[in-house]
Amino acid sequence: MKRIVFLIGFFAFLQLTFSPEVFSQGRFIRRLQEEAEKKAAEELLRGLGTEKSEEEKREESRRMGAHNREGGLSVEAPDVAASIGVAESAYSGKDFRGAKMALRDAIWGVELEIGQNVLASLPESVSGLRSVSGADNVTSTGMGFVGLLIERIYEADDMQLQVSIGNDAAILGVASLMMTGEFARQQSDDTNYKRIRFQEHQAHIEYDEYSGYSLAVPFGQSSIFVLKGVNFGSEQEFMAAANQFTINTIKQKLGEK
Amino acid sequence: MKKILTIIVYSLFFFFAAPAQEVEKNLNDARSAYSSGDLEAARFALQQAMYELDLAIGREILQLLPERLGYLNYSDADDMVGSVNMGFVGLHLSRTYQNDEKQSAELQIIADSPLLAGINAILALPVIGRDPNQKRIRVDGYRGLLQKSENAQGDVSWDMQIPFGSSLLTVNFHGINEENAIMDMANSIPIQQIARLIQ
Repeated sequence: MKRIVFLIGFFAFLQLTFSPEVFSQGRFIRRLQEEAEKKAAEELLRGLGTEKSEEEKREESRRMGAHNREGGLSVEAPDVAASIGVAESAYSGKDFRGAKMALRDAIWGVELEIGQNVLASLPESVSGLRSVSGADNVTSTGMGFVGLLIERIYEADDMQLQVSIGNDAAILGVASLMMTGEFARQQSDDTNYKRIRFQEHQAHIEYDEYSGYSLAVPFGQSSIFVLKGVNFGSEQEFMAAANQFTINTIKQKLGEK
Repeated sequence: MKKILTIIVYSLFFFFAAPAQEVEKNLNDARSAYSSGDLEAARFALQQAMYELDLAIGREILQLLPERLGYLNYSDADDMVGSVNMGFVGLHLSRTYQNDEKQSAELQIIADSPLLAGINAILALPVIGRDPNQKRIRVDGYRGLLQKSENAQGDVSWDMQIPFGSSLLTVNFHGINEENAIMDMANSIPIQQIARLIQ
């Protein structure tokens, strides 16, 4: 009898412990507990942050060796005409290093102007996406290795368009390489990549489930136009946005043939 | 004969004078293109000026180099100066010294290359000292690396690499067995003066 009571009790315990309802309730309670703990910790940390006095902040900065004031470098576009003058006088005085530095400044100054002209020719908004102020960028080494890189970002909600325009020298190699690679891929059954004509230029479009759509259009002797679109619903939607950029205008601003 | 000599002298003059004029001409072209708003033409002229400037520096360096390296004479026709003018490899030049006994030294300088700055770190690695055919050396105050090689026929060759700033001086010696002879030759290269011109 005692044994029967024990067995009934044991099975009842198992039933209660592993029944789906009890199990899910336990899981729910655990999750609730974890969320509450997480929330409490966040509140606590937030509270600690606001309670810090200025003196404490200064002390912490001193201790960590961290910079906590505003600042930055003054950025000035080089004076091209003046740099050419400096290069001339340095060269005639056999100061080759000085001449080289002045020449680099002059090249950078000219490339910066070219980049700004191209940015000014791009649309301010594309398919409802507005250009992000302060995100415009013109980059150059002052020499041909990287060449000139011009960038602009457009955003709206969760959608983003990133325009990159490369110009001069080594980028041409990349463009050629890309087209060679493209030829190889064109023969495969890769459905996320295809070769297209874009505004009379040979180009390719690519889709990636993580980064979205990207369009690459090599043009002129040494330039490339790259457009990346995130969260566009379809290829057609992305291409409609792409067609709001005019390659020939960019080409003309870059002085490309 | 006099006429031939005159032509040769004038040719030499133009050989050295032309690059100087080219730099100035390109700078003038850049100035006028820029003032007329033709930015692409201005950029092209400035890049050309940079290229010509590299060549001018290269020629200056060749003039600094000794005409003899120990018992080896330089061959004027083999002198070479060039510039990739692409930021990652700038000026490069070479000179060959040799004699009739098949002994030679090929000197090369690659200048203005940021990629070479890292070679200093490699030279500081102690692991280099473990190879018996490799040793660290010091020439004209600059640290460098000397590596000895010997082929199956017993011919000895030496590779010397001396980085300075973002430039690299390389000398490959062939047919010379003694290390002392190599070092004496290397010590006649005015690295400090070359570095001052490049850096």
